[in-house]
This record gives sequence, C-alpha cells and structure tokens, in this order.
Amino acid sequence: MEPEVLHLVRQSKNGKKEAFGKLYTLYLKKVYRFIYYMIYDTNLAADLTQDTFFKVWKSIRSYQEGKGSFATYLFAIARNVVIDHQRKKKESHIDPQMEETIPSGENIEEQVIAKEKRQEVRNSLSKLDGDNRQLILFRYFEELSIPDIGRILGKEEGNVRVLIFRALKKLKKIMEEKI
Amino acid sequence: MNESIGKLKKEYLNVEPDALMESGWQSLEVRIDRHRSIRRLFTFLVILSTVFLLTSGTLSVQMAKAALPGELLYPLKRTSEKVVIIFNKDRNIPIENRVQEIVGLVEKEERLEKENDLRQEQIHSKILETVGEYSQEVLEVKEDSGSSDNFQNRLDSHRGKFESLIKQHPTCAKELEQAIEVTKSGQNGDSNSGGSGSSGGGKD
Repeated sequence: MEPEVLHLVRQSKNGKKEAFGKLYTLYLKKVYRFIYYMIYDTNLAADLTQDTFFKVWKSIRSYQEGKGSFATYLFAIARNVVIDHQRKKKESHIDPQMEETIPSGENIEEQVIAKEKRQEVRNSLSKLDGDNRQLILFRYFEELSIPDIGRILGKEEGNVRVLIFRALKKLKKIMEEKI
Repeated sequence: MNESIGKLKKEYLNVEPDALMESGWQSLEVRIDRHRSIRRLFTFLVILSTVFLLTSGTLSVQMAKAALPGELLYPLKRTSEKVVIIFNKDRNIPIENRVQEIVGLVEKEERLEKENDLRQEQIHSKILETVGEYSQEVLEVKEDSGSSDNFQNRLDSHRGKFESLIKQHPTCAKELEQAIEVTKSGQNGDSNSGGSGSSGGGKD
C-alpha cells in the first residue's frame, strides 16, 4: 500500500475525519464506477457509494493492514452494499437502457457519441450475471490481483482463477455475438 | 479480445460520479457528524444508566440492611444475606441478623401500640417466626462449631439483649422468653435445663 494511503488510513482509524475525507476523494471514482456497472443507475449508484463510504468509516478500525490493500477492503464493502440493495429490490435483471438521460446543452454530438460508447460497454457487461460481471470489473478494469479478488469474494485463489477464466469466456462469446 | 477489453475498460474508467464530485464529501461529513453525536449520546446514556443502577442498587442494599420481616425491602435483605454467605461462609451473619430483627420488631411493636395501629397484632407473629428462624440458625451452627468460645460469647450477648428487652417491652415478653430459651439451647452446660441440651427435656 502506498505510504500516503497508509498514513491516511491510520489517521482515519484514530477518528480523524479530515484524513478520511482525503481517502474519500482518492477512492470515490473507483467505488462509484464499480457500483454503477453493477446496478446501472446513476442516482442509485451515488447513494450506494455514499453508503459504502459511511460503512467504511464506521468499520475502519477493523481493517487490518496486512490483509490486503485498502482498495480491496473498500470493494468488499461496496460489493456487500450492492448485494444488500439487490436483495431488497429482488431485481434479477437490470435494463441498461432504463436510466439514460436525454443529452442537453452544448456539444450534443459529443455527448451522444460518449453515450453510445457507454451503452456498448453496458450492453456487453449487462449480459453477464452479477458474479461474472464483478470478476471482469475487478480483474480487468480495476486490475486487482487474484489474491485480493479472493479476499473480496471469500474464495481461494485457484477457484478465483477458474471463475475469471469462465467469466472471460462468456464475455468473449457475448462480444462475438454482437459482431 | 484484449483489444475489446481495452476499449471496454477505457469507457469504464471514463465514468464519473458527477453528482458526488462537488458536494459528496460534504453530505457524507454531515452524516458522519450525526452518527458521532448519536454515539456520544448513547455512550453517555449507558454510563448514566450504569451509574444510576449501581447507585440505586447499592442504596437499596444499604437500606435493606435495616429492613424487618414484612417490610418491602426485607426479601432483598435475605437475598443479599444468602449471597454474602456464599462468599463469606460465616454462619454467624444470619444469627446476628435474626437477633437484630427480633430487637427491631419488638421496638416496632411498641411504636405501633402507641399509635393504636392494627398492625401491632401481626408483629407478634412476625417476632415468633423470626425467633423460629433464629432457633434453626443457632442449632445449625451449634452442630458445626457449638463449642467455640466465639459462639458461646455471642449467645451470651444475645441472651443479655433479650433479657434487657423484656424489661423495656413487657408486651413482647412471651416471644422474648422463647428467644432466651433458644440461646440457652445453644449454650453448653446450661444451668437451668436438666439435660445437656440436645432436645430440651423438661425442667425439674
């Protein structure tokens, strides 16, 4: 773990809110985009991101430096927040088309292109179930190590490798079908 | 495939939490402050409740020490007596408590008589009950360590107390005489009784 992050984590453990604020700034995007690609709802992703950081604040004293990076700890909590939300909502399928807003203001053409690209990512990933999707996000987009992913999911490294392989195979099939 | 994933990753990384960028931390900070206040209040209430329970519990036990049979705190007194004996194992404690209760009840009887209180009649039966318990305690200790000087001296002291009370409170003479008999039954080489004191045989 980077020394700066370690220092901020230790200060946060001692109740220093300002240090936690810096951690929030450092990791906000990571947590948000992971949650967004799990639920495909901008506003809800923002709420769940705040919930995640709030839970991290409450439980940060239980974080052990030797057991994975702080990002791993964050993602584990974020994942649980998403699972809890999905359990309450009992939604089996998220329609990635649902929450798209109508572009407005300047540079509409650029916005539309960006929107289409995002849609392409969502469409590809949304066809994966939640478990496979998070594996792809963690391994290929957030570039977490196999051991760290194992810690988040509570699985052995060997098992994680197999699961990632299978998830990748499914994603490849989805993308080939689109061509 | 790698190229495709690379493209997907690029778009993934472009996602920005627009709603949170400006004021996300501020709203989270408010939530954290609220949580802290609630926790401090909760901690304060827990400490206050603990202090109150300890204080009132201690006060109750202290007040119960003077409780007499039939009074509200008397069960608490007997319970705390049992607890004390478990740790202390001093069988003289219940004996001393019963003597203190007999004395207290006699004095209470006189007060109620002066006030023409109808509860005065109940006191006599309470005194008799307590004398009965006193007798049981004395017999038990006598079987264990009846010959000890300490025990004998205590019985002497009790006897002196009861004899003095009879003079001051003649209305309770009958109950107090029974109490005196108990002390005699506990004492060695009692001069009044014929037998050596196991079951008090008839006097000559």
